[in-house]
Amino acid sequence: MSTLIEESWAVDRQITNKSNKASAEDGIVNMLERNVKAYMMNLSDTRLDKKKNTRETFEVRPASDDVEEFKVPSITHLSLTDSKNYFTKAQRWIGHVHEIRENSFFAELKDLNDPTTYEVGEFEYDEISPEDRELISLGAAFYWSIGSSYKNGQIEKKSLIRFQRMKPWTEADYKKSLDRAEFFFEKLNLE
Amino acid sequence: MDNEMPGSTIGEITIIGTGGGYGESIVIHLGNNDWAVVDSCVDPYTKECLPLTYLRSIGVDVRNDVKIIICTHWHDDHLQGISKLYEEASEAFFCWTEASDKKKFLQLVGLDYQKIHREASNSSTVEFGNCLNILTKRNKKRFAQENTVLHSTKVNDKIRSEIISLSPSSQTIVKFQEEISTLIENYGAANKKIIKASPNAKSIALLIKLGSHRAILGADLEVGSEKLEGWINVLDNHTVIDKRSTLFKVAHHGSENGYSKRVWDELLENNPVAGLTPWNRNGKLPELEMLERYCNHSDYVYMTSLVYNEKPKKRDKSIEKLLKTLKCNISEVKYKQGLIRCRVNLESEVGSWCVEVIDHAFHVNN
Repeated sequence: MSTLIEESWAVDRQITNKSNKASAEDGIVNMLERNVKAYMMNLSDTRLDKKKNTRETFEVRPASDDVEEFKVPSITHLSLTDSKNYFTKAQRWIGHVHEIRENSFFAELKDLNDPTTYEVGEFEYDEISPEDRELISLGAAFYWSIGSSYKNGQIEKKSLIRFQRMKPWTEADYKKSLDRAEFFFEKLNLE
Repeated sequence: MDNEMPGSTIGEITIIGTGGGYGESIVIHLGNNDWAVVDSCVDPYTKECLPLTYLRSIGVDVRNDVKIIICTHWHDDHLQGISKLYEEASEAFFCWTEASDKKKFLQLVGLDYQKIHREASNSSTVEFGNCLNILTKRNKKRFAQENTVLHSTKVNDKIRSEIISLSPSSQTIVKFQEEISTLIENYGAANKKIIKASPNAKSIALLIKLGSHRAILGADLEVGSEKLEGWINVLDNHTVIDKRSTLFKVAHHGSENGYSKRVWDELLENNPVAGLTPWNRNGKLPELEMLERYCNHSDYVYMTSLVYNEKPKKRDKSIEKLLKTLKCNISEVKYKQGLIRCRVNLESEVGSWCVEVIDHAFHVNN
């Protein structure tokens, strides 16, 4: 799976920030906008040669001399690999912080490619971005990806860690848990 | 493995271990086809509930003959798969620790349960929540606290078997209420998993009476420093231990904080059978020094598997290379199932345990 480096977390945010769908969608919309712009620029060239169709994800079908239709590509078919910078994830985990040490933390890792046995690992704080470092605490969940990044013509091996961001519980969430507790309490005669 | 079901007057205590943090479980035959299961664990590959698989493998009618399922405490490594077992064992009582404020406890379970879609809920809470759902349809429950008979089986006119809880103490139960508040405060956030950091004083240690034979199952009970909690309370305030035990499931994976010399001196016979399940996550248990100490107490120390120091998982060569290049410091927690099966003749007053080691289990003294 390849994504733009700056947008790789937009896709992750879809997972890490389910309660805030809008942000995840914003990232995808940005991606779309950029591709549409690229298409428009490309379209000018295409107009010069109507038979030329350079981008496989955009279908150019002249309906008349003045009007052209195009299909907005579906996100699943959106090709990002021809963008300038991208990150290819080779392996992903979800981790939970189990122990906090002076310069590192210890975590349990669930392999998202093969969720059978789990792994444990130690992560230095300097591997974590300053804004995510604040989120390190016992029990905190994070996503860890390793892969290769292609940036400005260079390929680099990368390890990316992103801590999960969630909306805090709402009053409704608390009420729901209280209702559930009340239900069990009564149903099981726990007086 | 001899897959024969024990006869009606053969008692059995089988310790199932998984070689790391995948959990442990104990299966008990009290006689007359009455079975009990203490805790549960799963095979991480097949997700099968191991005590259930074992019971089926020896031909136990799980639906009718499992009489009680006991959760010693709600840590992940003791509860995985328990709801599947409970669902099948429709005649069983479900037993857990008494809590003074049950509503508050249930709220904590409810809050954690809601994290199920956020990758932050504990499997133990999910399992426990599922068991509560089943329980609402059956309502066969028992609460454990010190010196309480949880189950009793009359094998014949002369032989009786019992399961008795030795802990938690009344003081621990009261303290648990405060702990729940702290847990809600510290781990209540929607993206936080409850990490086991709390003391194991709430664990249910059990005395098993199989006719005239006695066994103590230590769960994760720690010694601690409080006189009215943990092993100190069991030693000083028990009212149910009538004789020394000849079998001991060593407490808390053989850790130093689960060890009390007084337990060996006052509650156990000389040279008892001792069963250990290892722990292998951020720390490794038992430590070698502790293992030597247990071997000094008994010639019959058994472990369900070795404690392994592992490398990362086997993966595609390119990913293994990438992990090396990035100097990722990770290791796999290997799954190694092992069973220590101990059987004893309930009709004999002095007979000893017949111990079998299955799969990765082994006799440590050898």
